[in-house]
Order: sequence, then C-alpha cells, then structure tokens
Amino acid sequence: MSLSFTKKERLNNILFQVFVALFCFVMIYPLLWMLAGSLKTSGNALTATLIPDGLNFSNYLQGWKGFGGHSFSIFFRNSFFIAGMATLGQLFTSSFAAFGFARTRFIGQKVFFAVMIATVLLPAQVLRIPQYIMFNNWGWMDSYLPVLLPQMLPVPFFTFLMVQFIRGIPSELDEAALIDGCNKFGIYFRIILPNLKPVMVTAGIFRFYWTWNDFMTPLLYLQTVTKYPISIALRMFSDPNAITNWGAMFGMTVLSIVPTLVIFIFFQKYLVEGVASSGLKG
Amino acid sequence: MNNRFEALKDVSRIDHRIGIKKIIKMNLEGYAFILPWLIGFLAFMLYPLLMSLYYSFTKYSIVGNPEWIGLQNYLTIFLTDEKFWMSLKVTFFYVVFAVPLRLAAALALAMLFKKARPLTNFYRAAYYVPSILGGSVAISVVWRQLFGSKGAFNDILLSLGLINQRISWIGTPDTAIWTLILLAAWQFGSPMIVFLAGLKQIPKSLYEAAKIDGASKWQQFTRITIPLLTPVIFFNLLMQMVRLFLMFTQAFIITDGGPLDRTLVYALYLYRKGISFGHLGYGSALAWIILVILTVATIIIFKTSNKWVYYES
Amino acid sequence: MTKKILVSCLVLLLVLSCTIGVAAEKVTLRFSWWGSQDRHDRTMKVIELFEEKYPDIDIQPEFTGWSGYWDRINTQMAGGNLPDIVQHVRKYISGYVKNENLLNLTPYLKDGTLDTSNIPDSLVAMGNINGRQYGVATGVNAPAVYYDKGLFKKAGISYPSPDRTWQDEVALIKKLHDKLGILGSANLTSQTDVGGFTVWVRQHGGALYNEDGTALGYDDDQIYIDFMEMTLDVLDSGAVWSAPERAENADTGVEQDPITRQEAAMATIYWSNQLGALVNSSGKMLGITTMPKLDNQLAEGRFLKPAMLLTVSANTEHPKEAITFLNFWLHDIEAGKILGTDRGVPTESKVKAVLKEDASEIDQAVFDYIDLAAANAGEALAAQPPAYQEVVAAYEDVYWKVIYKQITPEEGAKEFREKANSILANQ
Repeated sequence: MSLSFTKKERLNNILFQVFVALFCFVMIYPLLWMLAGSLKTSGNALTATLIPDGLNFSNYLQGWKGFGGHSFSIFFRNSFFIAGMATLGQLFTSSFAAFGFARTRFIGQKVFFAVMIATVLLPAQVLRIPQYIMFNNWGWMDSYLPVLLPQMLPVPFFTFLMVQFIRGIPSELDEAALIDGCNKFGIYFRIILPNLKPVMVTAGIFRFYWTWNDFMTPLLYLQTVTKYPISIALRMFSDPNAITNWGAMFGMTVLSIVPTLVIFIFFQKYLVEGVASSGLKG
Repeated sequence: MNNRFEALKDVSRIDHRIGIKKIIKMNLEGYAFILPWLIGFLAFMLYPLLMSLYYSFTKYSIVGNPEWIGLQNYLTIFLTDEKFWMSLKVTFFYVVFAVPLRLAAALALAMLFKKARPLTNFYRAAYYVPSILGGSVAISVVWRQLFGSKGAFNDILLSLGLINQRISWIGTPDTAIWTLILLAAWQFGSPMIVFLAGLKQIPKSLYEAAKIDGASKWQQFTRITIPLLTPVIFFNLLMQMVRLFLMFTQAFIITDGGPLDRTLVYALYLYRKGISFGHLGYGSALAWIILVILTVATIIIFKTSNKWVYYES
Repeated sequence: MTKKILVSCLVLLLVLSCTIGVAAEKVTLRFSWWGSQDRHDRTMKVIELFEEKYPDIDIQPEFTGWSGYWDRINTQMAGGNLPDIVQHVRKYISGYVKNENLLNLTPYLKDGTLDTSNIPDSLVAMGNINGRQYGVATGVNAPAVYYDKGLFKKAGISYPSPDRTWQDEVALIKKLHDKLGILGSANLTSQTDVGGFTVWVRQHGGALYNEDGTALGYDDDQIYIDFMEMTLDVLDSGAVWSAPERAENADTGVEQDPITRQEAAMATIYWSNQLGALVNSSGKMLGITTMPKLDNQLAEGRFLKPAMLLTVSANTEHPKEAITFLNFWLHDIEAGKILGTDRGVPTESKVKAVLKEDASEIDQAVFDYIDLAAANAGEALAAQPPAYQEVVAAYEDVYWKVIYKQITPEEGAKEFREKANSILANQ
C-alpha cells in the first residue's frame, strides 16, 4: 500500500516537474532575452535571438560607469537605502494600524476604514501636482523626505492586507492573553505579530520591489544626481530622439532585479509549508 | 461560522455594562494603533485630495493658473467627450477578463507551489519574474516578438494550420486588447504570493481531520481551502480590480492606446489629458469620476462579501 | 549671567552666519537636460570646464532620460521651482512662453550680454518666439531620409536626389519593393508627427497653422485629401508596412527600424542627428538625403530646426550668470569639441569649423547633410501653438482612421479641420 502510494507520488512529481519546467521557460523568457541582449554587441542588443553572438561583458562595464562620473554603485546604494527604509517602516506601521482596525474598537472606526480603502482607488497622477506644491512649500525638495515618508507610513494596500490576515487569527488567543493580563499592545506584540510572519514577508517583498521600481516619485523630488535611485538611472540610457545604449541598459536592468530576486528566494520559505510537515510521510 | 466583515461595530453597540472609563480607554487604544495611518493620511493625502477636487471645477492649464468654471469639465466629459466613453468601455472589458484570469492563474500556481518539492524554490521565483519586470522595455519588446506579425504566436498557429496568413495581434483593432489581457494574466506573481501566504495560514489540523474522514483532494480544496481562503480571495479580488482598473504602464509601452483607441484604458486617457496635454482641471475631473465609479464597485463587492467571505474569530 | 551668555551666543551666531553668507557668495545655477549616457558624460565634462573658468559659478546638474523629463519640468513649473537653465524643444515652448515661465532674452541680446557673434542670424532666430528671444539653439537638425546604399546598388537604382518629387519618392519605394522583395521603406511619412504633412502644406504655399496659431493655416481640404490618397496608394501597393504593422511598431524607435535589419531599403523622415544610432544598429554606413519636393511647388517646404533650445527660466535669481553659461556653451571651442554634434550641428561658425576638421565619418556625413539641407530649406517654421501636442494627437487619430480605412480621405480632411480648429480656438 505504502509502496504504491509513493509510486503515484513519484509520477505526480515527474508530471509536475515537466509541466512547471516548460511553463517556466515562458515565464522567464523576457529575462533570458534581456540577459542575452546585454551580452550582445551594442548594435545587436534588440535582435530576437536568445543566444548572444559571443560573451561580451563590455556592456556591463560601460553601463556600470554610469553618467558623468556617477557610477551605478551610487545608484545601487541609494536604492538600497530608500527601499530598505521604506520596507522596515511600512511593515511596522501598517501592521500596527491594521491591528487597530481589526482588533480594537473606537468611535469612527467604520468611517476611517472606508476612507482608507477609498484612498487606494485614487489614480496617482491626480495627486501629483498638489502633492508637489505642498512638499515644495514645506521646503522638502531634493531631500529623501517626500520619497520616503509616504512609503514608510501605512499605505492602504498593506494595511488592508494585514487586516484581512489578522481577522484570520482566532480571537480566542487574544482572550486568553487578556486573561493572562496582557493589554492591547501586549496582544499585538505577543500574539498577532508572531502569527503574521507569512504576510509580513509578503508585504516586505512587495514594498521592497515597488519602492525599488518606483520611478516617478524620486524623479519629481530628487534633483541631485548623487541622490538618484536605480529606477531613474536605468532610464537615463534612453533617448528615443538620439542614441540609446540598449546593451548597457539591459545589463544594468538585469543587475537591478537581482536584489529583488535574492530577497524573494531567501524569504520565500516563510511563505510555504515547511518540508517536514508536507507529504513526505506518505 | 458567522460572517464578520461587520467586525467593525460601532461603540454604541458595545455592551452597556462597560463603564465610561473603559470606553475611553478602548478609544485611546484604538486611536493609538491607527495613529501612523492617520498621520499619513492627514499629512500627505487630505490636502492633495481636496485640491484635486477643487481643480476638477477649474480650467487649469499646467503652465497657467486655475480658473473656476463650475461643472463645465464634468458636463463636457459626459456630454461630448467620445474618448471618455471609449476609454470606459475599453477599461471595463479589460477588467472583466483580466481580473478573473489573473486570479485563477495565481490561485492555481499557488496551490501547485505550496508544497516543497525539488526545485520549487527556483520555480516560485521564476514565476514571479514577469511581475518584477512589470512595465519595463523588455516586456514591451518581448510582447511584440510574441504577438507581432512576425511573432512566435503566429508561427505556432501557422504550423497547426489554424491560420493561413500572419496576423498582427497587437496592431489589429479587435485583438489588441486581448494581448494586454494575456499580459495581465501572465503577471500573476503578486496575487500568487498573497495566496501562498494565505494558504500557509490555514491550520494543517483541518486537512488531517479531513483526510481521516476520507475527503478527496478536491473536497479538501472546495470545503477547506476555499472557505478559509475567502478573506484573502476577497483582498486579491478588490486590489487586483483596482490595479487593473487603473492599469497604465503596460498599455503605455505596448500599444500606447492604439490601434484606433481600442486599448485606450482610462488611466492612459487621464494621463494624456491631464499631464501630456496639460489640462489639469479636466484631468482631475476624470480622476474623480473614476474614483466614484470604483467606490461604487467597491461598495458592491463589500456588500456581497458578507455572503461569501468567512472570517475566523 | 545666563542671559548674557545667551545674548553673546546669539550675537556670535549672527556674526558667523553673516561671514558664511559672504564667503559663500558663489552662485549656484540649476541646469536640467534629458539625454542618454553619451550626452550626460559630455555635458558633465563641459560643466567641469565651465566651473574651472568661472570659479564663482556652480552648476548643479539635474539630468534624466527623455522618459519622464516633461512630467518633471511641468510639475516643477506648477510648483514654481523650475531650474535656472532648461533644455527645451521648440515644439513645446509656446505654452511656457505664453504663461511667462521663460525669461525674455531680447534685452540681453540687444545690449550684447548674450553674445551671438559668429552665429548666422537665421540660426539665432531659431530661439525667437513671436518676436522675442527665449532661447539659443544647441545645434541644427533637419528632417532626413536615410537609405541603404548596398541595397540600392543591388536593385540597380540610383541614389535618391534632393531634387526628386513626391511622385518620384512613391515610385522609388514601389520599385525597391518590386526589385528586392523587401519593403521599400517602413512608411512614406511618419504618423506620429505632423512632419511630413507640414512640409507638404508648406510646399502648397500654406502653413499648418495660421499666423497667430488660432486655426489651421490652409484653406483647401484638397491638400489633405491628396496627401492621404498618396499615402494610401503606397500602403495598398504593399511596399510599406500595413496599417496593423505600423500600429504595432509605432513607438519602437530608430534602432528597430526595418532598415537596420536589411528588411527595408529606406527609412523616411528621422532627424539628422539620428544617423549615428541608425548606423550603429545597421552595422554599416547609410546614405542620407532630404525629403522630397513637390512638383511645381509654390514654396520651399523643407526646413531646418534647432535640435534643442537652452532657455533661462523666468524665476531665476541669476539671469546674468545663466547667460554667461549660454555664451560659454555657444562659443567656447573646447566645450564645442566635447559636445560634438550630439545636440545638432553647432551654430557658431568657429566652433563648427574646428569640429569639421577632425570629424568622424558619421559626423562628416551629418555636416555635409546640414549644408545640403540648408541649401534646400525654406522659411523657418513658425513656433507651434501651445496646444501643439493636442493637434498632433488629433492629426494622428484621423490619420489612423484613414489608413485603417474607417473613413475616406475626404471625411478625414473634414474631421481633422474641425478637431484642430476647435482645439486651437479653445487653447
């Protein structure tokens, strides 16, 4: 009985591997293509072939040099700073706010919750000009404040996400803690936060790469080149009315998604069932 | 198993035996927790929000000053702006197909990937790649390589004998929007991860109990996974609806609204009017219209959620 | 006692801040431009050179790619935070001028502060909008037709001459297609810019806009109808991209033109400073010539234009220093050598002469072409009206409808006129 079961499992596994591997190619095709493009000689970066005409790393060297003496090490550093701060801040503040919405009661709760949901519906383009005028009046131009603060304080996407997950945590746990003499803050730190690990990882991954990729906000508020993040730098290769160095641009784009991928691969174990508890027992 | 979206009950409904002191304490606690959000909202959102509402009643060229014109922008939009109606139609069509496709793909792959098998770590990351690339140049070029007249999709259809001449799927008015819908379905990484996190939260004891009762995999899926996942499904549905309603970059880089405005999604039209042409007042009016539409859609989803979303507690 | 300390501290602080104020009398100018890697490198070198020569002026570079550049400039303008010096294009400039966001340079031009010696008047005038000077041209550009010499030889067809007419051009594209079995060209004229049609209208003795930019500047819709019928004729012959193929490639840019893959023998109407990009992607030198003439044309419709304009914003606190920078940009030989032809062919004759001496093959071809284009250029284009982008969008809308055969050229002429006039009247 147990032998035939493992056979079936093995067959399942093989089918799974074949299907997933085939589809995997479709999924990462653009990345492979970009990688190939970054290794081609500069004039050929846009051809359709996946196999580059030799291994040509000059695009990386040329690209890394950056612009007018500002190399990509600066842009990477800035991006790590911005995305790192935004992620840490966001995780803390939005889980805090979500706990407030999901597990405490106060006057005006419904209204505030509705307002929060409503703010996710606003097209960003509309807020841009008034926001700019406001930050300009506050003297925040060319500083990281307008780029960082709004991304460190709770944004509706994450707050709502965490509200949904907190509601899935049995409230008996809260009650038990209350009886043990915990106050609300104690419940947040001792009960809710440890149980939020998967969603914190999810939110952390999202916040990191959304901030990492965000182009318009830093473009509007940062003026000094040494403060630019990588998202702006990547577009500084391109001028449709003159020459675009596609090879260098693809090379730097490939490098720029490495941190996101590494973070994803490193943290994803928190997203899934551990090996021990999955079907190994048969 | 009562439905508890209405978890946010008014204080008035709280038990009368609770003393006034306790009520004050509860309120203080509540406000302390939502304080970061409240600060963010008051500092960064409220003023721009009100300003854009004000702008929507003005004629405001981006290079000039706002000038009050009352309802004129709204009247023009509703009565004479053909492109507005076109973009609404395009956007609705897009959302109706793209959201379910993306969510279905995300859920299917999350189910497939929730167990640790050899190489799944690698695959999960690989399946996430298209979403990371988002709206980059690579995506636009690759999409053209796939669905352009010289594209691989045509090669496949030709070799299967399904078509006898090459079709430009991106350049043909009736098919262009479908290439964008497919792109949306293909970039299912974000909801997939949210689903994975949701699946992880379901207690394993439930599955073990079901197994002992002899439930099949499918029964486990429909009776345990889906009901317990409804808060997350609800979240993904709402958020993806909003995201795709306001989808901009993909349409901007691949079709730029063409051919013949058949992919002119709402956010793209808003961007053109408000930013490219500099009609900030008109653009703000367009934004408030979509805000109202989305709010209505959201309220409907929230109302129906009482019937199908299950909350623990 | 404590009061005394406090007061003396305050006094000290005041004195300190004053001395700092005096010591740091260095003027800082913000300079904003768009470009790609090569241009950023060149510009930064020029800025370094400038700061060496003028130690009391500090240039703060604020550069980006093309994508997002205008969003940023527009937002900065709305916030009253424009950089002191802004790289501009002539087609977008009218709105900024109309709302007085740019500094009127005419007084500085008259008293000689803005030095235009060795620059031909016609080129100085490129920065002139409605009778006032608002900028200086970084260099000269002209619309250009590129062709693959090898493919022409293979087809046994002689190279296109600047004297050919539109009919010749149509015949040429068809013939190349017949002989080579590839596209004659990707298209006859561009759909995304009114470039082709503008020239056509001028050749008919009209202009796209009337003098004050409040309506279209041609009366006879037959002009539009003829132009679109010619376009449809080429389209139907299969010698150029079909409408859907054009749509899918509408924004792909010069590096992906079929001429770079030997899939077309010509590329019509790019700018002259794009030769480098085309040659780089095709892997071989290309020929370059002017747009066609009109048979029995009433006026010379072809034109030169400033590649970009350097403008000074109206809210600058240091107009004199900003103009010092413009003068340096225009006249300094070393700076000219660094900048090369990246922002068009230099307007200053001495700088141009030095550059010409040791120009690369590509630059040499561009220099020669600009001379050819200048010899075949009519009046400078009037400044486009503030609603330019909207008119172009309306033009494009109608253009697509005609080539997708949704409407006839006659209906198109009427629709474009109605839409354009309504936009221009209400801007």
